[in-house]
Order: sequence, then C-alpha cells, then structure tokens
Amino acid sequence: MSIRKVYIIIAAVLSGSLLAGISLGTEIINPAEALFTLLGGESSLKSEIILKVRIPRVFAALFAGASLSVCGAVFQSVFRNPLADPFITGVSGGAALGYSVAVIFSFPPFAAVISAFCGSLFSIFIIYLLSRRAGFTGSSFILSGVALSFIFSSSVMLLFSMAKSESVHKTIIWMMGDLNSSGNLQVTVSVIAAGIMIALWLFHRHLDIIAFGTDFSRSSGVTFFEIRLIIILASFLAALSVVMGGIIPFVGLMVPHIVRIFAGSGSYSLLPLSAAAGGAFLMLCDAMSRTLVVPYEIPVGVITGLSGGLFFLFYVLRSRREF
Amino acid sequence: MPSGMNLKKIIITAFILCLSLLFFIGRRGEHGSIIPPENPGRIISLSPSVTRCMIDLGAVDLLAGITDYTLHPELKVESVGAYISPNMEKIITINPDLVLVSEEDRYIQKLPLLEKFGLRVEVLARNRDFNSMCGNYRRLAAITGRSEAAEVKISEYKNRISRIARPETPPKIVFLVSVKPLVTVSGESHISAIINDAGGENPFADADTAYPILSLESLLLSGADAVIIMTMGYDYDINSLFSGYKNVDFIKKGNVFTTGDDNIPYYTPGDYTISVEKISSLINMIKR
Repeated sequence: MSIRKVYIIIAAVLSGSLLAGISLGTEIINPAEALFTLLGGESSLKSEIILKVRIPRVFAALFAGASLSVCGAVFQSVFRNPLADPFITGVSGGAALGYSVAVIFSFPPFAAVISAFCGSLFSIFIIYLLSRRAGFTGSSFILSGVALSFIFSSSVMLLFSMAKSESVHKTIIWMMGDLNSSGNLQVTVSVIAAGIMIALWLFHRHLDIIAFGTDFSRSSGVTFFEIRLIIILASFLAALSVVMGGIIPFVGLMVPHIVRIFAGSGSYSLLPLSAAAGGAFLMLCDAMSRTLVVPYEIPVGVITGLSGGLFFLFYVLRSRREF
Repeated sequence: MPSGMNLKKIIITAFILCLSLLFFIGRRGEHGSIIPPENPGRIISLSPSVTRCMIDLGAVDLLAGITDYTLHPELKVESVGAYISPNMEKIITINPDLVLVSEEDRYIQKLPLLEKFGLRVEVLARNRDFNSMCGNYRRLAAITGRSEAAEVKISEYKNRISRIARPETPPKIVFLVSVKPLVTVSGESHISAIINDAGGENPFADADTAYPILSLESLLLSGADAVIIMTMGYDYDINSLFSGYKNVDFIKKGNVFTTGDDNIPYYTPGDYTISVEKISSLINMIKR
C-alpha cells in the first residue's frame, strides 16, 4: 500500500472517529445542533452537552491518544524493543503514586491531577539523574523504569493498605483511564502536548539512525545528549497524557505497531500517522465507553486494554515463527 | 559443590520438609481451636459500622479490638490495623471470644484464616435498608445482651424517621460519592434507601452495581431536580463544579448540595436516621 493511501485512510478514520465521538453518548446527538448554536442559534441542553462535555472530552481523547502513540513509536525506535510502551520509564507508576497520595490525603480533585503529573515528573527526574550519572541510553533505561515502577506500585499498595475503601475505589477507577473529567486544564495541556509531538517529529532523522543501534548512531553523529533529550521529551509526553486522561494502557504499544505494518518504520511518516491513528483509536474507545452501558460508563482503559490484549494475541499468532 | 544428582536430592528433601511443616502448622491450627463462651466478653470488630453499632448499644466495654477509621477520641480500644488490611497476627494474639464483620466487608477480610485458628466469626447480613440494619442491630444486641436497649433505640429511630416531612412529588436526587471520577449510587447501596426515606427518588436506582461510574452527560440528561455530593475530607466549590450549563435545571436553580461523610457511609440504624434527616433537610432546600 502506498504511503499516500495510508495517509488518506487514516485521515478518513480520524474524521469518522471525531464524528462518532461528538455524536455518540448517552443520547445520539446531531452535531449540527452544536453548529447551529455556534452560529448564533438558541442554545439547548443537547448543544450544551456537545460544546461543553463532548468536545473537550473528544479533544482530550484525541491528544491523549496521539501523545501515547507518538511516545510509544519513539520508545520502540530508541530502545529497539517492539514491546516498549509510553509508561516503560515508570511514568504511570509515578502518576499512580501521586494520585493515590492526593486522594488518600483528601486533596481537592483538581490538585489530584496535578499531583499525578508531579508523580510522573518525579519519575522522569529520577530516570534523568540515573541516565546522567550512569551514562546509559538503552536497555538500562528500561530496567530503571521497571525498577521504579515496582517501587511506585509497592508504595501505592502501602497507601491502599492504610486507606479508606472509598479512596481506594476512587483511585482504582482513575487508574483505569478517566476522560470524564476533561475541562480547561486538559485542553491547555493538549496544546503543550502538540508542541512536544512536533518537537519529537523534528528529530525524525535521529530516530531513524538510533533505530540501527548505538554504535551506528554514534558514528553517524547522534550524541548521548540528543538521545536522552528524545527520551525525556517522550516521557514528558506520557506524563501529559496522564493529565489528559489518567493511565490508559496499550494505546502507545498497539497503535505504532499497526501503523508500522502499513507505513513502514521511517519516523518521518510513522510519527504523524501514529499520532492521528492513536487519537482516532482513543476517541472511538471513549465513544464506546460511554455508549455501551448507557447511562453508565466503562473506564476507557478497560476498552483499550481489551482491544490491546486481543491485538497482541493476533500479533503473537501472526509472528509465531519469530518466537 | 554438590553434584547435579546431590543437588536434586537436596531440593526434593527441602521441598518435602517445607510441605510437612506447612501441613503440621495447618493441623495445629485446627486442633488448637478455642471453645467460645456463650456470652462473649471480648469482641473484635473488623467493620467500622459494627463498631459504631457497638458504641450505640453501649457495649464498648466488650470491645477488645477494632479496625482504624472508627476511632472516637473517647474510645480507648486497641487497633487491630487498617480496615482493609487488619493485622491477623494481632487478632489471633488478642484471642477474642468473637470476631464480628459485616457481609459488605467479608471479602476484604481473611475470615477463613481466623476460623482456622479456632476463632468464632460472626458475619452480619447485608445492609440494604433501615430494616436490614435494624435486623443486624438486634442480632448484635442479642449477642451482647442488650436487646432491651436496642428495642428502645430502634423505636426512637423509627419515630424520628416517621416524623420527617416528605414532599408530595418525590424530587429526583442524584447522589455522588465521587466527582472526579463521577460515581453515583444505585438501589444496591443503602444510600439509595436513605434518599427514598428522605422523600426523594434515585434516578439511577436500577443499576446492577452499588456504585456505578456515571458519564457527565448522563448526569446532565438525567432530569435530576438536585445533586448531592458527599464530600470526603475537602469542600467542593459547588459553583465551579457545574458552571456554564444554562439549560440544566438543577444547575440553573442552584440545586447542587454537599454533605459530609460522617454518617452516610455507615450502615447502622443511628447513622441511617441522621443521614435521612440530613438529606431531608437538603430536599427541603430544593428550588422547584
């Protein structure tokens, strides 16, 4: 399939998902109602729901999905590991710890999201310090991330063991992905995430060179500083995705894999296509999460996790000769 | 260094020894059972609601241990750990005559382990409404020899609930136990019964799970007359929570209220009565 066709197909899927995200929910609403209000018509409850609930939410899903996919694509190239995902550097563990501390110690809801973000930044900071001291760039990053994740998850368990059951319930729901709380903060964060995605795309040549191995990249002029910068930027993107929608699994692992099958491994196309496909995928999953059991909601992480698990079964069966 | 064959023998012997040790410890637990007395003198409560019932019944002197989060400043009872992870060794060491737990909490407690050590465990039935709470209260009273006092209290609580003025048309009340994420209560939760007894109606009573996750748009489209948010340690800025929705009735009329978590989460007749009174006073504030 030509790259042009891939761009057209993904653009079509993205538009369809956007429309589905805006129209589907507790009630199917015609997006024209919102357009009518925007053009000066009288506002109705349905138009309010589209403008104030669905659009911010679809926006957050679009950018959270895009951020996770771009981050996954970058990590898979940098670590030359097909199983690398956005949370491999311990970002999700730090976020979970930050959120748990906030909920258990009764911080207000807004501060809980900020606390989760600070937890993610803390994990990135530790990874950065470790990388500076030990000078590592590849598998050591992954191992430190795994170690940090264990430390963070044990700390979360420690907090859970001492907390009220209501607080534990609340934290667990958030840890399954929460796009329901999208508002102004999430929209602002989306803009920052878009800037980082563009910055990472500017490194597309570096990423292609790094994917060939450390020796090759060093002889080609890619410095350790640049590799570390790419990893930190991608980790920061993962941390921003946590602010936008909590901890959403599998998007960053699965979407770049699928895009790579059709568009190849060149980062020039892989990154924007992964961003579009990731955003489309999360918007669809989110639309499903609020449509399947109306008027209730399934955490979006459950839907992405289920589809991710099924995808990996398919992936393992498809490439069984390699294992 | 032992040869491969010797190493194999060592591992197999160590494995058999470990299994024998585990079997011995298990058997010891079975035979070392304690025969509980007819009227238990030393009780451990693993459920905060059970502890509150004991306090209400004036049976604090029988408590030998309780889980955290039920501690009253005046209550000088030893803690056996957090509510969701009590310290089993401590409970076994205290060696109570009876361990009490509520059905709602049994799955997070390690009851089979306690029974294995010969401790008598009583699981109180599920608390769906005032009547089931009174049933458990009476059972506790019978165990602690305070049946008469319990009947007096229950009759007082019933009177208080019956005195509550209810509106002719029950307003639709959405009760939120969490705002971010948005979690409401269904008919499976005792909070729904509180709403009904206070004269309201829960539009999400039909859900299968006690505390379903709600989408914001479902809340806005629910046709609720009022939303009551249970605060858990912090005060919400109500005005900013649902600001900007001009076409949603409960927001337009300012019918968003908060209430504390001092009584509502606990399933005791006393807490239930106070909760019904609190919700009723909020219902009276609803602007129609």
